[in-house]
Amino acid sequence: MLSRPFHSNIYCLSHGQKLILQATLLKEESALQAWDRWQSAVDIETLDSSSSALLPQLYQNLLALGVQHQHMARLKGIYRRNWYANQLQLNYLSSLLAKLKDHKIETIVLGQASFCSGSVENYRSINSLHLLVQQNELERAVQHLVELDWRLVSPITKPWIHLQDQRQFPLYLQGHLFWCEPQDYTDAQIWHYSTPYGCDPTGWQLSVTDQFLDRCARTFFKGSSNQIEGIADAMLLIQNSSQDLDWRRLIAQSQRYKMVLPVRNMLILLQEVLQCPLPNWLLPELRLMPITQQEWLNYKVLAGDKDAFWRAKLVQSVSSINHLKTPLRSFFRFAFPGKQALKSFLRPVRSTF
Amino acid sequence: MDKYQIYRVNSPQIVCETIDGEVVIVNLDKGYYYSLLKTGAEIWSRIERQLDRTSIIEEISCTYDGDIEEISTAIERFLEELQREEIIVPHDIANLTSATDHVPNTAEVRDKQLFERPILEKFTDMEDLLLLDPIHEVDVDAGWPNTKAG
Repeated sequence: MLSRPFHSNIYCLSHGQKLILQATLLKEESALQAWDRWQSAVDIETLDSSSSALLPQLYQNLLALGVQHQHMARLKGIYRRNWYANQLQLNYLSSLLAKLKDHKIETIVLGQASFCSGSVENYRSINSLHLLVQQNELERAVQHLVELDWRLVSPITKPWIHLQDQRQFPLYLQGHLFWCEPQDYTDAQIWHYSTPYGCDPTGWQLSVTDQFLDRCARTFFKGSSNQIEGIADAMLLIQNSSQDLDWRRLIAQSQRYKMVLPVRNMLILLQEVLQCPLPNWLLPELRLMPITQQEWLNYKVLAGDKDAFWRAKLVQSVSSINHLKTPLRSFFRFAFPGKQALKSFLRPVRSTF
Repeated sequence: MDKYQIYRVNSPQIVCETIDGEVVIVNLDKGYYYSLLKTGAEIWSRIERQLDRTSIIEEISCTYDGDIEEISTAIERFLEELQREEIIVPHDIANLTSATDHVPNTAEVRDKQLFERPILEKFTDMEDLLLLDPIHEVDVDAGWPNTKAG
């Protein structure tokens, strides 16, 4: 397998990660070829955690392809384990949603649990719960959760409120998903397009388009490790819910929410690694869209995209200089002997033209 | 005991899924995990089809090779065990949805396999089993939740 990413601000897939993505998400002969190459190139005993997360989904695909291999029993075991654990977590989540609903608090299920709702399943383990509530309900939701024996771990002022139950199982609660002024309108759009959560009428889930945007942002956000689950989820959304994925709205919202870069990254990878069929106009249109300074600062660029890399570096340098401005300003305000002489010396000479 | 008794899965506290011929079942109230293989899974599919006791026995007898008395006793005991574990409960006949679903398929199968007693495998120490590393700490041939021997 190739080495892990060499730069924290660059998103780079190893050869093994590309192969497991292909074996997991492609169909028929393409998947079988990728599986053959993957299982002969990697040792399942020493697999990276990101690839390991795809194993239950890989098992499902191999099972459908009729693969018989010595690893299948262990892969089935991982699938069984996740299925069992998730049933308990979903049951727990269901009662939690019902209790919040009793207090007239509506919730949108985010995170791993949103990929266990029936129509789109990735068979990964639910290791935390992640809920979105209306911003004006956030404090009330926290209050009720505390009454239900959840303990606040992070201050309520943070964008994500972190709570834990007695098992120390984490729950993340937030009032905003995408940040864009006017924020009330942005939030209202998310709720407007949300759909009922699986077969549980007590909760909601993001629309496929918003789910796709959310996956793009989380996958390429700087500081997060280069995980491949986001790519698998994005592909799954296209494969299973393409009729609900509004490409026009996707790129309009990616520009509104300043997420052109992560969406572009995702679509390039889906096309290059998984030969995902996309509308012809999509990538050219995204490539023409300006990427804001904030995006260059917040998101990773794809390995090999030299132009994007240098732009991100430039913006980062400019941003560092801007940060220096404030202490320098106070330095110039401070009176010290010879300051006037220094200022005249530093003052730029006016052009005679 | 009513030989025409029909059963249903005791949902919502029982959830199940069939994975590659194996039925996995969870009791959400108790956290227990169950597995059904071979004849156990065959009987389970007939419970889901809402066949009555007699029809289940008839169908299984046509599918497997064995003494009818032995097959009948084994199935009766298996159904009792499933009830004892609160996995299935007697179904109220009035709630049946469609009569056409309940016609047994008694077509004789050629090359019958020998009947094996259905086994309900039960796992209760789930907290420990969930902590197992499903790659390194399990039986390589059976996978989780079967622990590595020794």
